[in-house]
This record gives sequence, C-alpha cells and structure tokens, in this order.
Amino acid sequence: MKNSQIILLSIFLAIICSVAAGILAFVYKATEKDVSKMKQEKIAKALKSILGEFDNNPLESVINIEYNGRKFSLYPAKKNGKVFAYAISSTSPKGYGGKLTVMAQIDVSGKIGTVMVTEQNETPGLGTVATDRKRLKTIAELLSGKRDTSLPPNKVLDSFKGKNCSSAPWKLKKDGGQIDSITGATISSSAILDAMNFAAEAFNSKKSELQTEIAN
Amino acid sequence: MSVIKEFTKGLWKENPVLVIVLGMCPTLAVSSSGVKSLGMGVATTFVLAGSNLVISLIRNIVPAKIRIPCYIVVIATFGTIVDLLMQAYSPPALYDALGIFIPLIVVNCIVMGRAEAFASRNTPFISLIDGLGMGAGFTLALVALGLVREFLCSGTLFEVKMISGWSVDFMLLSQAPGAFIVLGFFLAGMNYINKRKAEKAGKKYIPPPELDCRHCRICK
Repeated sequence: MKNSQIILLSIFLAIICSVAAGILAFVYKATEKDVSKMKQEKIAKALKSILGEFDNNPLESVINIEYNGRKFSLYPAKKNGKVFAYAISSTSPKGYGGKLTVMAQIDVSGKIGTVMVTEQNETPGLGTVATDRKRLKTIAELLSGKRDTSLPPNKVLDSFKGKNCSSAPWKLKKDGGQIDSITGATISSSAILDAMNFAAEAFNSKKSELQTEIAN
Repeated sequence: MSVIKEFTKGLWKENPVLVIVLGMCPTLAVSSSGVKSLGMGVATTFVLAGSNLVISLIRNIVPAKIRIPCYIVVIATFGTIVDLLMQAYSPPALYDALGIFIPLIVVNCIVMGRAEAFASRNTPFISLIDGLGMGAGFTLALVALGLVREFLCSGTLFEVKMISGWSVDFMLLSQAPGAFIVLGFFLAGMNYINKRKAEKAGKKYIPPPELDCRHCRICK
C-alpha cells in the first residue's frame, strides 16, 4: 500500500469518527436532563417508600458524610418543620456482583425502620432473593383490578426493623447474630449486613452533630 | 424483490436466532423473562434498522479496505444512542435488568452480519426493511424463549403469576444452562417444521449447516 493511500484512508476514517462523535454529543446533550431526572426520580421513589409521609424535599437537604473511608448520604425527612427521621444510603463493595447499595430509614433516636436495596448486581433468582422486595401480580388480581400496594416483605431486610443503631455491628443468625440470611444467597445477605453495619456506625458517629442540628 | 418478502424473511425463513444462529450471547443471557426479552429485542431492532440504513447510504463512498471499521463506528454510534435513550426514557427497572447487554449490542453478530451481507450491497430503503424484519424476527424468537423460560422457572408470564401456589422457582431455567436447553428444543422444533414442510412439497430438506445431524449419531 502506498503511503498516500494510507493517509487518505486515515483521513476518511477520521471524518467518519468525528461525524459520529458529533451526533453522539448532540444526543447526549439532548437526553442529559432526562437521564438525571430519571435518576432523581428513582431516589425520590425509594425515599417515599421507606420514609412514608413527609412534607419537605429530602433530596435538597441531603447531608453527605464520610466514615471509615466510605461515603454515605443522609436524607432528612421533616414533618411540620421538624426532622423526624433520616434515610441513609450506604454502599457495600462485598456483593456477589460488586457494589450493593441499601437505603434505610433511621429515626432521630437511631431506630431502624424500613430497609430497601436500591442498587445491586446480584445473580438474578439467587442473590436477588435476598435483595428484592417484589410481589408478583396474579392473573386473578389483574382481572379483578385489585392491587396490593403495601411494601412486599423480605426476610433479610425486615430483620433489621426495630433494631437500634447503638447495638451495631450485627451478625447473621448462622454466626450467632440477629439477622436472617437466605440459603443460597449468603454472600448477598452478608453484603446487606455489611452495608447496614457501616450505615449504623456512621450514623452513631454523627449522631451528636445531627441532634444539635435538629435542635436548631 | 418485494418489500413484504424482505421484511418477512427475517421472521421465519432467515430468522436470525433460529435459522442463522447469530447473536447467541444476548439471546442466552437476556432471555430469562418476557419483559427483558422484549426490551432487548426492541433495542436491537432500533440499532439494526438504523445501522443498516446509514451503512447502505454510505456504501458507495466507503473505501473497501476500511469498510469494517467504518461499519463498527456506525453501529457503535447507534448502540450508544440506544443506551442513552433507554437511560432517559425506559422504565428504570428494565434498564437495570438489561444492564451491560445494551452497550454490548455493538458486538452482536447479527448487526455486523446484516451490515456486511445485506446493507453494503442494497439500496437504503430495502436495507431499512431488512433491518426491521431481522429485528422483529430477533425480538419474536427472544420473547418466545423468554416466555417459555419464565413460565417454567416461576410460573409467570410477563411478570404476572399464572399459577397460584408456585412457591419455589425452578432456578435451572433462569440460568444459562436452562437457556441452552430451551434453545436446543427451539432449534430442533424449527428443523422439524421445516423438514415436514419440505417433505409435503416433495423436496429434499437440507438443514442449515450449523444445525444438521452430522455431529450427532443418536438416531442413526
């Protein structure tokens, strides 16, 4: 191949690539807003299902804290201008498929309420048994139009309910602890436990600061 | 070459999954439920139709020596567009479930195969129709596989429980080995139907080279 031909082909390829890059930049700009809106909505939906009723926007007053090298987000929920609970988001790197993020309700005294897994890459059907809160519609329900909107149960996540952060760290029941695990999803169960332990400890370490904030 | 014929060949006669047997990675990995299959099918159809159209438009100006890299750039562009659009507008649960397989549409053999075998030799309109037909065939095969696997695994269809009292999931079907087993039955069924059809018409049936009996001696 002659040198001039090589240069010509390179130029052609460069043109094609720059046109493609231009188109992608345009699509990226056009969808950027909707993508971030979608992500916010996802968090907002999770917040709503774990915090219940509140009259502020927890997304706006998010507090980012760092504890033991991990990052946490605290979303305060207010009712009549007073903080009554937080939603804490905590990520554990110990999931079977990498990162696993849980979101938990912790009220001002440190008591844990509803726990949910918001992001995970666990094995579908095995690990996700421990992470999903899923209720399948049945054909009878679909035909009669009845819908059950309560939060579906989950053995692992529900066993945190009512525990106080001051009693952390917890252990799995099979290690002599208090938290249920699911057979066949031990790694996913312990990743949830790991995320919750860190979340509780992070909350404990910031508790005094948060309480002065509540008082203000 | 009629338009309808170009479209329908992808559905049955040249079905990309069941006859050409291309693009097995997303087929086996994603077809564990009807909803996921449908999402993947629609995304792939968009990439197929778009890349076929553009490649056909530029087929006369692309130098033959660098056509493959050029096709890959076009396909990757459409793949990324689909990824961004799905992030912005599809239900978040669907995007999370399909995950890594959306960017991987780029390396799906069907897309590259149609670009090289069809779009680079035909006019833009016919190439677009071919892409849509192939995409529809891919979607149909995937959804059929997905529904069978979903039903046998947990007794649901499109995430609606059909049988009450199905308490424990039959995990094999939702994992890769189950995908291979169900796909095997599908390919055998496809061969059987085509063989019957050929015999009725009085012709000799020649199975596709990937699917014929030369590797297996069970019934000989």
